[in-house]
Amino acid sequence: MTGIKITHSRLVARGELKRCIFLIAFMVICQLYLLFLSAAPVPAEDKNRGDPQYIFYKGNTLYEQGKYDLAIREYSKLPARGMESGNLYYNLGNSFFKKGDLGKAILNYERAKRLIPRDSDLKSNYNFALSRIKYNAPETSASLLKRVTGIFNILSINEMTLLLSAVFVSAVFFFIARLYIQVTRRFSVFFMSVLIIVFILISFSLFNRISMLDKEAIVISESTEAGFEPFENATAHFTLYEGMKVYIVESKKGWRKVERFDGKSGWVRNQDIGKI
Amino acid sequence: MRVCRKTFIKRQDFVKRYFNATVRIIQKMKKNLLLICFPCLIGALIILTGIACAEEIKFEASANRNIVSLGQGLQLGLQFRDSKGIPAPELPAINGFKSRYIGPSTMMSIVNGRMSSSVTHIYRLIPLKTGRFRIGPLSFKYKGDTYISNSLTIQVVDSAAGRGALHGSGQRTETDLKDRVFVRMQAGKSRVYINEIIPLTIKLYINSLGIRNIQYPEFSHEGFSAEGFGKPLQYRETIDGTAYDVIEFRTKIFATKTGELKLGPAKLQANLIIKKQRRRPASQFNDFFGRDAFDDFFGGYSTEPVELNSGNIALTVMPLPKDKRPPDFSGAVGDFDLSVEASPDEIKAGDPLTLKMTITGDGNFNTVTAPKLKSSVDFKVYKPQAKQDEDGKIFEQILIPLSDAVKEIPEVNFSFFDIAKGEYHTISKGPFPVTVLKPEKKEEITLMEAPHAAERTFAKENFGRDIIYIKESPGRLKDKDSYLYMNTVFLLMQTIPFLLFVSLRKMRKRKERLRRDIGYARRLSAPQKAKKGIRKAEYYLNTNRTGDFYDSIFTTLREYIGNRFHLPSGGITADIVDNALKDKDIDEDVLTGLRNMFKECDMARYASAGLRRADMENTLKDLKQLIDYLERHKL
Repeated sequence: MTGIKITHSRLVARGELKRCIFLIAFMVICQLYLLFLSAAPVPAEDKNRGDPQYIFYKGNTLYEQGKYDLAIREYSKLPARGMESGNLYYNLGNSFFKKGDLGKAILNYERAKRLIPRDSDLKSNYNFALSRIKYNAPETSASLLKRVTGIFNILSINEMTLLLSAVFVSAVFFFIARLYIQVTRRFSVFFMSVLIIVFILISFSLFNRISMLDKEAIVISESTEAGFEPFENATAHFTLYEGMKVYIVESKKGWRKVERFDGKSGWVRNQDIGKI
Repeated sequence: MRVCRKTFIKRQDFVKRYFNATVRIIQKMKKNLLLICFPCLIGALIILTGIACAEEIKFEASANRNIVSLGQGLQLGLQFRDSKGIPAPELPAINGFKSRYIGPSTMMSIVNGRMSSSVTHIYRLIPLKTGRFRIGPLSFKYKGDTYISNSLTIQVVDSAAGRGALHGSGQRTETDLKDRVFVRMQAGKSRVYINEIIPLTIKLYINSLGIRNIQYPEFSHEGFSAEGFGKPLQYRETIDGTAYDVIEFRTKIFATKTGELKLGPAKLQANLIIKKQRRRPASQFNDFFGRDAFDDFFGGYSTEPVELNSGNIALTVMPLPKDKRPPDFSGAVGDFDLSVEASPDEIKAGDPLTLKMTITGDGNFNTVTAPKLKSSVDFKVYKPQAKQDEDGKIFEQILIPLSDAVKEIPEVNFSFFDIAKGEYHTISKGPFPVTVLKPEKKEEITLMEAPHAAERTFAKENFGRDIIYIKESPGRLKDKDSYLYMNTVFLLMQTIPFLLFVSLRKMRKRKERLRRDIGYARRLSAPQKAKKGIRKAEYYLNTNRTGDFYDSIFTTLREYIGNRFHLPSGGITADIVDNALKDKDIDEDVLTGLRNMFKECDMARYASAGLRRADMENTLKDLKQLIDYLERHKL
């Protein structure tokens, strides 16, 4: 009886090893598939919306000819049709800069930054435009948490979402591996705590970014006064200069309540600011 | 003093030469002896008088007070400087005074590192009558030299008046005190230019009084900038025949604004040692001793703080002339010299070189600013570092050549106002040749912007900046405001690995249990085995093999029950099954059916002939239902 049992368990062990190898291979394939799928999200339906490529190149041609106003009009057709790209906003920013509209240039660079945050040309132009604005932004001392989550600012929102997903998937796969491979159990505490910390940091940062999406705005009129109330003749509270970044707190019929870097908030007209 | 001594030596030299020359002329021109002799003699006489005058400085007479009352004495001191061994001269009869020699007093003093010794012979003069008396000039011959002293004027007053003057009311004492200790302030010039250095001396004169804790003087100097006082000098000076111990404080000041300015008064604080006034009525005891010896010994003197004030000095401060003022003039006043050194003389473009500019001379170094480069287009110029010491002011200027086209460091100019000449003066040094090599890397030279960098350089750098050109391709165009985190497909896909994990885990658990729990394994295998048995039975049913059919039904049932309830299947009978299933929650009908089935099987095994096909089909159906029931119910 015992002899039979032993052979049986050996057989089981051999079979399991094979299955483990198969499982790991399956997991890897799964993850690759996932990444592949998510890396190509929602392709633009080009054909139904005229030819966006053509509009873009037309804008480029007009820019080359120095017709910045026309180039802006051409480029702006794409966002109006509900399409965007980092390069598009970058070119739009350049056109506004050349035209001398610094606030709108910065606004478009900020928009581009949301999509192509690591682009060196964009960084250079953005910093140059910032150096041209009239006020000096104060050096704010960021908290440790903000500085750590700030590392992820080199990623776009989609990239961060993917990274978060990858961390989640690897955590799950680690648990699966834990079922079949005894050795992994030894590292489980370390590995899981690292994954959990990374997960929390990324999700916190992503949450911040997403919650800021509709709140950040750039002052586009040369200088505007923020009032205490949303009326034309309201008492001025503070001044906003072109290119300044503000946060929208509240909206009301043609007026927006914005908060400045120093925490002061006041009402400005819709057309004085542009949402990033 | 030093100056006097020098002139004295010069005069002696001159006399010797003149005398020798005269002798030679006499030898040569004997004919005109008389004609030549006369002017020579007169010249010699004049020079001899000069020598006598010069020697007069070395013999000085002084009195400790110049007002004295009848019955009181005064001390006359005859001082011989630079000569210790001179014996006491015999005083001639002085009109109105009786004299007595008291003794010599020698003094050694070191002033400015030079040692001098002097001997003072002290005489006591007792006035015989009232009036003004003139003492001297006294002459004294020693070793062939004649010493002639200055003259003194002494006023002798009536005994009562004199006592009043000396020990009378406080006011009188104060007046007396003012003559004996006072402060004088002197400025080197009364008309000065702005920023011009003016030597200022403040002298404390003390005449035979004890003074301690002398503080450095303070003086109001609105419109002037003043340095601190140096180490005070100490010497003796005679004013109107009265000898004073002088403490001299020296400093340098310069005016910082123009106009008629007032300097002073200087204030000096010190402690005066004064003899206590006797307040106790004269007693016999005191009379006996003449004075209170204990008083003198234990507390006859007390210190009293005094504040001495000098007079004011009026100064006219003139502005520097505006015409011919060099454009690079920045306020330096005095007489200066400039030396410039550049190092190294061979560098790479972008490396720093040092221009060391040393300004020496006399004048106000406080207003000396760094000399200016004539042109600094090809250089990045840093703010010079200034260092001031006693000899002058050193400026170290760092320059960075911007390209290898630089061949020389441009001219350095320094302008100042020369007071002696009353005009502006510009010193130019350079240009200095320098070899600038190409930088090692072919990169553009980038310089860190210092906060004080020249505006020109900054503007130049700004000029070179512009935005980078537009992008050629539109990049990946996507729907506006559509993000991955909103994508339903993507979000659903996140559940896949999780579901995978859950199912794998379940599988794993089951497998584990199958391996470990035989009862469980048997329970799981029961329906499959039963199915096999039923298929076999169906086969026998179709082939009409009744005995085999009931055999297989019985075996299937026994095995199924054994597996299902983990009983040893070999010995299963209706009774055992009954016992085992009694406690389980099973319908009575099912149990009855089970019992019947066992009975039927038993019967068939022994008397299979009476059984028809319909019975067999019913039995099979019952078995299926029984198994189905047991599989469906959790037991």
